[in-house]
Amino acid sequence: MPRIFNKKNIIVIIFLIITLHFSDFFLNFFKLYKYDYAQRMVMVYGNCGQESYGFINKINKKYKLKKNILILHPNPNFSFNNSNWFIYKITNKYHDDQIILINENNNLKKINSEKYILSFKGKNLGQYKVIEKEINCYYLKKI
Amino acid sequence: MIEIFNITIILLLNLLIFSTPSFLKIEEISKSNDDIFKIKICFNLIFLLNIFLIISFIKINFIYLLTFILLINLIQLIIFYKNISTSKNIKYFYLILFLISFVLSINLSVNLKLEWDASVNWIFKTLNFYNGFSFDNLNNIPGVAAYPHLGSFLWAFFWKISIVNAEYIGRIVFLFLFAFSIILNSYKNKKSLSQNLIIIILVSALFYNQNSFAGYQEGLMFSLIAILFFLINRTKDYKKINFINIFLILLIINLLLWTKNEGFVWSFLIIGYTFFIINKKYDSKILLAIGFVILSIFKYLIFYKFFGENLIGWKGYTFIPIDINFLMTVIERLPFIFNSIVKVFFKYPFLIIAFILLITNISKKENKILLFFFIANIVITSSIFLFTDNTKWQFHTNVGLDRMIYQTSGFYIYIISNFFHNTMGKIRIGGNGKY
Repeated sequence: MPRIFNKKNIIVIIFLIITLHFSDFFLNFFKLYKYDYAQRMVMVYGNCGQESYGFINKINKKYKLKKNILILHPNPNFSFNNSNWFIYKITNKYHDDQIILINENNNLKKINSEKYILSFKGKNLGQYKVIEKEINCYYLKKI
Repeated sequence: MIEIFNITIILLLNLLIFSTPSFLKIEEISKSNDDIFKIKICFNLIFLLNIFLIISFIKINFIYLLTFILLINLIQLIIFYKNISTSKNIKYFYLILFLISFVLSINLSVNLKLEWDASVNWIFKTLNFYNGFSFDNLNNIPGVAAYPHLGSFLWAFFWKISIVNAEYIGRIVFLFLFAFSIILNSYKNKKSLSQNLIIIILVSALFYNQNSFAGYQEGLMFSLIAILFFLINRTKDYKKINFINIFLILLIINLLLWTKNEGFVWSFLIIGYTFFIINKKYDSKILLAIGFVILSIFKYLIFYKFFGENLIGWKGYTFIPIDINFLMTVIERLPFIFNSIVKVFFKYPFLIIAFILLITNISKKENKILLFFFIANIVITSSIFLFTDNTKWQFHTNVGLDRMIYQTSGFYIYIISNFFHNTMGKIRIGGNGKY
C-alpha cells in the first residue's frame, strides 16, 4: 500500500468523510451546483409565502421598478417585515401609487372585477387594481 | 459551478488579505517561531480591519480599496520574504484554514436566510456601503442608525468585489475569521497534522452556530474576542512591557467598539481580565486603561455628532427605576432569567464543558481568572435583561441572551482544545506517541 494509506491516515479520512456527511456538506455542495442563487433564495424565503422572495423578485424584474416599493406583510407571526431588503434601493424614494401585498389575509375587499379596497392593520389605504397576482401575493396599483 | 469558483476566489482573497504576516518585528519569547508567525498574522489582520474601519468613513470605489489593501500586503510580503518560515506548521495552518472556511461557506451558500435584526438593520447598512455610500449616509436608511457598522462594511466589500452578485458572498469573511480564530487557539505546533485536524474540526463543530452568521454580528464579535484571548495570553509571557502587543490589544478593542454596541461592555470586561492576567505590569495596565477610555470617547463623539445618540444596548434600553418595587421586580424575574441561562448552556454545550474543565482545574491561576471571567460574563449579560425597564423583557431574554453569551465564548476555545489535545495524547493511536 502507498505510504499515504497507512492506518492513521485512513482513520483521519474516515473521520473527515463522516464529519462532512453529518454537516450536510455533500448535500449542500449538490444544491449549490444544481440550483442558481435565485432558486436557492426561493427555497429559503418562499415564492409566495413566508417572505415571498420569488414573487417580489419577479415583480421587480418584470416591471423594472425604478423606485422602492412598499411591501405589506400582514402575517401576525412576524413582528416586522423581513422582505423589504430584497429589492431595496438606497438612492430612490418610494412609489406612492404602487404596493406589493404578500400573504394576503382579508386585506382586499372586492368592489368589482377590477377594483379592490386595501386595508392594512385596520387602516384603509384606498382603492387599488390588481396588476399581478400569484396565490395570495399581489402587485397593486392605486386607482 | 461559477459560484463554487467564486467562493474559492473569495476565500483565497481572504487568505491573502487577512493571513499575510506583518513585517513588524515581534520580540521573541520562549514560544516557537511559529507562534511569532501567528502573532504577525494577527497584527496584519487587526491592522487591516482597522484600515477598513477608517475607510468606511469616506466614499471609495471598492476596487481601489482592494488594490490598496493588496498593495500593502505585497509590500509586506516583499519586505518579509527573507524571513518567511516555510515550516510545515505554517503550511498546515493555511491548509486547515482554507478547508474549514470552504466547508462553512458551502453551508452558508445554501442556508441563506437572514435572521431578525440582520434583515431589518444590518443588511441595510450593508446595502448602503454596497451602493457606494459612506458612514454619513447611515442616517438615511431603514434600521437603527446608531448601531456600529464595521461588520456591514466588510460584508459589503466582499459582496461588491465578488464575480457573482449574491449577498451571502459578503458574509464569507465572517466564516473565515471564525475559522481563523478557532485554528489560532487550537493548533498546536508540537502535535501531528492529523491530531490538529481532528481537534480543530471537533472544536469548530462545537463552537459553530449557524444562527450567528445569518447576518448577525455575533460571529464577528466571537472571532475578534477569540483572537484577543490568544494575544492577551501571549502578552503575559513577556517579562517587560510590550508596546506592540498592548497596541494590538487596543486595536482589537477598537474593532469591538465598532462591531456592536455591547462591544463597550465586553471590552470593559476583557480589560478587567487582562489586568488580572498580566499581573504586576502596571505600565501596561495604565496604557490599556487610557487607550480604552480614549477609544470609547472617540466612538461616542462620532456617533453623537452623526446620529445624536450613542447606544450601549438595544435602542430604547432603559433601566428599571430604583424605587420601592425595584427589589420585588428583580426577585420576580430571577427564576425566568436563571431558567434561560440553563437553556443557553444546553444550547451551547461548550459552556458546560468549559465550566466543568475550569472547575476541575481550578488550582491553576489562569483557570481561576478565566472562571471568574466566565461567571462575571454570565452575571453581566443576565443583568442586562434583569434590569431592563421593558414590558417585553422575557421576549428580549429569549431572543438575546444566547447571542450575547455566544459573543464572548471565544475565550473558552483554548481550554477546550487543550483538553482534547491532552486526551488524544493519552489515547495514542498507532503507538508513535505523537497522536
